[in-house]
Amino acid sequence: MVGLTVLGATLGIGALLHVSIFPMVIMANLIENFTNTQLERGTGEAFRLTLNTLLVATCSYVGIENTGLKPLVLTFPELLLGIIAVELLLGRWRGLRLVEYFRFYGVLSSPEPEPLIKTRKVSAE
Amino acid sequence: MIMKIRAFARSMLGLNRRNSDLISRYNPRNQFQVVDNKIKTKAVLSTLQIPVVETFMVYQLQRDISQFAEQSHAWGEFVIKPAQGAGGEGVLIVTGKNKGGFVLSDDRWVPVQELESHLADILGGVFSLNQRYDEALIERRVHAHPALAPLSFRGLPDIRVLVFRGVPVMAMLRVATQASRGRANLHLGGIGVGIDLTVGVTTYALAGRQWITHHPDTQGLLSGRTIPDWNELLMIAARCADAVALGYVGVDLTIDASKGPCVLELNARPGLSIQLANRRGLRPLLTAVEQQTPEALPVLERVHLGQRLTRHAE
Repeated sequence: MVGLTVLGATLGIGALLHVSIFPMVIMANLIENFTNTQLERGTGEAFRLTLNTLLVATCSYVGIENTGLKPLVLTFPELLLGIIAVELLLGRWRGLRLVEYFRFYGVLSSPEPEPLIKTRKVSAE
Repeated sequence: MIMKIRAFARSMLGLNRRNSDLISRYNPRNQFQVVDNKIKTKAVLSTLQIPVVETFMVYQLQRDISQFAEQSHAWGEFVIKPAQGAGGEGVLIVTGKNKGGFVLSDDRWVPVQELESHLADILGGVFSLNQRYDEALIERRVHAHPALAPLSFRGLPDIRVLVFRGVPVMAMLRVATQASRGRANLHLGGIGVGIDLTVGVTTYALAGRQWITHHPDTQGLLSGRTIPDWNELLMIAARCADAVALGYVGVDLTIDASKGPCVLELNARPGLSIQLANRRGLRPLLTAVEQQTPEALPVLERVHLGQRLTRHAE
């Protein structure tokens, strides 16, 4: 950080003076997680996860910047309480999740394989 | 179509309901540490004379690993497992020694150093649930019963029995494939085979999202197989649930060629795919069990209750 500031000041690159601590911390965190995943689950998986993270971050950025969400939340911070309420509500849902409909239904709606011995029929008699 | 989907949604157990209505209600928090640690699980089960796989050695500290090369002379075949591993990760099956190194179950030769560094990885918590430190245990290698062995490609087939309030309610057989690299876990490419709880005969086999009748690697028949010692397996599963005082638990068992049924591990958050392999939802069965007070019944009665319910609760 200090190095970047000094470098920016001596070379006269104004942009380097504006680098704030927060993005640096996040980048460091990302790099650390990348190497950890690389060690434990391989380079491919590490790249996949990093790409996913960047994709989600980009989508969030676009979502926050372009939908007028920022002024709304800054003016009415109590909206965040509403988000907590929605999360609690979602957490109390006990039915199947949407992904579970796909995961289960696709498999179970396929025609019943012919069991070679129909044990259940036999035992029901 | 809509009616069909609604009927289906009423019978299938989803993750949310499993977590809120079953795990948080029936599984006390303090018991998780026993179930999540294979060493503690084995200690609890063996005091109750429930058969488990023998442990040769436990490594707790990095410095103990230096003795591994010497100690391993005493063991012919063995399995290295992380005590708090999940999903079969970090398990190595050593089938013999050769040229100063070891041979693994996939015929790969590895030097001693590689196993030592694997042990160090385990102790470092690479495969552990909590991602922190862990312990490594060395177990006897189990040879599957001749009735089960031909069903699996290399790995050990295991039988998952789901026990709810002491009553075995559903079971499936999990077998390894070439794709799953000797492990029987479904999400790694293993095959789940439903089992008729009443007689212990396999019904449907599911590989990924595909229904099959024969094993893709061995071409062996998967459905219609009779599992030996079936009622004994169910009784052991029910006793395991009592031993750890969990109301909703998955018990993983196998049948050793020489020593018979034994428990591999317990799971306090058993997965949902057992419903797929059996082609039926768990909820009607769980409701039927909840209408009774099965905890008061002796083990054999509970096994019979589970078998009766699977026949009638539709």
